[in-house]
Amino acid sequence: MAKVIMTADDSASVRQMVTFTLKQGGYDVVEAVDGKDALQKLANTKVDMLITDLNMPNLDGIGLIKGARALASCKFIPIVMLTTESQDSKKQEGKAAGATGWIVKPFKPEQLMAVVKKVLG
Amino acid sequence: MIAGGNDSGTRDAEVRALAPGWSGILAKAAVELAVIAGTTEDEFLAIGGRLQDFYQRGLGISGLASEMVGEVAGDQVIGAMDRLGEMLDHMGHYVDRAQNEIEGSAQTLREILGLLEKVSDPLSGFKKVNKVLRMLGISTKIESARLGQSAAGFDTLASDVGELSVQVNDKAAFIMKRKDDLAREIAQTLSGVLESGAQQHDRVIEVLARTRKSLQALTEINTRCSSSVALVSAVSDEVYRSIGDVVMSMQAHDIVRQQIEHVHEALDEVKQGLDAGSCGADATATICELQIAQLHHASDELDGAVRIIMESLREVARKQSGLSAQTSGMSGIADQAGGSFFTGMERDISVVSNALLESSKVNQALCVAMGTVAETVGEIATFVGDIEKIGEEIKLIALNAQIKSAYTGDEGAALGVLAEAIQRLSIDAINHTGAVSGTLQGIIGVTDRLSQGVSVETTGLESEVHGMVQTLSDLVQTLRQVNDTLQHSLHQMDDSVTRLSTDIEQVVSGITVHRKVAKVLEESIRAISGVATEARRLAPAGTAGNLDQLAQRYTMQSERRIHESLNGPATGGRMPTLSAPPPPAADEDELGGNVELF
Repeated sequence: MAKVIMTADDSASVRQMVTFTLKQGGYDVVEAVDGKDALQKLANTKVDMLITDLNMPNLDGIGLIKGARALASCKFIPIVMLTTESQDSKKQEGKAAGATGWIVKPFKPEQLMAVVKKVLG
Repeated sequence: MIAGGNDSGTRDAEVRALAPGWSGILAKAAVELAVIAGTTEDEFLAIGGRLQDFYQRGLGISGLASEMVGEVAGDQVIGAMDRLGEMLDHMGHYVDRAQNEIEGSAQTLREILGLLEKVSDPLSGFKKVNKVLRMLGISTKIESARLGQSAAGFDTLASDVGELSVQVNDKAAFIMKRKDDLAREIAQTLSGVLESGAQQHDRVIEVLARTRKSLQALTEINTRCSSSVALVSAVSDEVYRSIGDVVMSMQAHDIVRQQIEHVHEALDEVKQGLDAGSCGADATATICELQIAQLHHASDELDGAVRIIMESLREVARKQSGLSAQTSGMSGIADQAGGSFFTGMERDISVVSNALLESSKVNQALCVAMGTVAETVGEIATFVGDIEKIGEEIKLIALNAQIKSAYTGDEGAALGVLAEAIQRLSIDAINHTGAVSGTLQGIIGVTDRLSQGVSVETTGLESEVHGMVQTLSDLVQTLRQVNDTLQHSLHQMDDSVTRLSTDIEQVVSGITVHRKVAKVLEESIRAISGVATEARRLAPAGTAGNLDQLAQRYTMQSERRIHESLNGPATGGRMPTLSAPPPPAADEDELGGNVELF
């Protein structure tokens, strides 16, 4: 059975590219338009990994990570930030919130796949 | 709201007079930027939607290419190659044997012709015997009449000899005619066998040479196809890389959108500062100059990204077209009009089959000729036997006449001489028949030998030919199947490539987002530049102070670099290097420089 990965990003085109890449790799993908939408979906959907943007309306990526980690089902899943932001302070903030890794946009499909494979084992 | 900065010493009154105009210009630019930032995503989504389709279709084309090279490099073709190799050896062996047989048979037929020629002399001897016998018969009748009653019975003897001589003559004439007919028939067969044999030999040799070349070509094709799986895979990788470039460039939309939104927010704040009178000329000029740089960067980024998208999509079409052409070439299919290597090979093999069947007919003709020779020689031998019997009969008659003439006494002396002459002639006739019989025996011996040889050989060659024709038929069937599969795949692949190329070109030619964005950004830059120029005229020295507040909203390193390059001491306000370096490939640094795992 294919593993499920959630992508949370307010940019539909970014979600589209993430979904396209992950589906080529054989994963099932759940999309969320922002942090709030993602948290709602995480409450009802079991996912194996979360890939989230940092800057999103309603609830940003850091808030999403904190919320997700509070869920029993997401306590130990890999969460990777996918953002244009590359400041170390932000990365540290993400790490502290519970992020597993950080990818600065734009990503290459093979890069994203390599990260996914690595963190999912 | 933007802090005023140090505007003391500037022309405050002029700033206050110009501020409403600047505010209006910047407000208009901000609105236009907000609109453009929010309306371009649909076009990107449309491109992204097609990308999935193009990628899947590209995979399908690569799959077809793999199937095609796999088909040519597969068991069926390898089996056909092995069988063709065996067939070539077999045919080479057959051609040599058939040619030897034909030459041997021709030699034997020539020998028979020579022997038949030898029959002419003894046959012409029968004519002489007949002539003399008839004369002796007449002389005997005359002498018998002269002697009267004492030579009674000699008259009948003369009549008998005359009749027998006529029979000898008739039978000799028949033998001569049959001999001539047979000689003619043999000469015709000989000419046909030699001509046809030579033709078949040359034809088969030519086709064999061509088929060897075909086998060589097939071997090369097979080798090429066996090694081209890697090529197909490489092309697929290249296509995937091009798709990867598109995926990467598609994200420019999000990056540029954020940058434009940040400019919009900055312009909005300057507007508010101008409206509130808290933003001076220097701050206005500096912020506007900064936003102009950000917009230039955004425009360049988007333009570059869209061009990469367009070029990469076209590259996908080019790669797939190239793969299609290469696969066609590799698998020996030059065109779609049946001009296939396999079609040519199939044609050659059909020619070989026909040549072999023709060759079999030559052997059958030889067999028939031998049968005719044997039959005719048998007939001749019967007639020769008849002549021999007649000779014996004449000899007895002559002996009887000699006895009778002895009883007749001196008066019958002449009849005795005639009887003796008749007896000698009968012996001559028997001797002639012996000569003819001897020659005929020679012909029969040669004919039997050849007939048996040809019969055995014909049976062997025929079964060999039929075996070869059957194998060739199977081979043709196999090659036809391979060819049909390849042609089908080729048509499918060409059709897919054509449709993919058309669809990609349609999508690419419909991409206008970069031009639309560039137009709006250019207009905004022009408007903001007007404000910046006027403001800078009023505040020539850039002392706007701390613009960190602006920097707070940046979410990208490129924005910060632009900000620093215009405000930091190192660059002194010059335009920075606008494009951020792309992330290194994953294999350069395992996951790439833009990836960090905690």
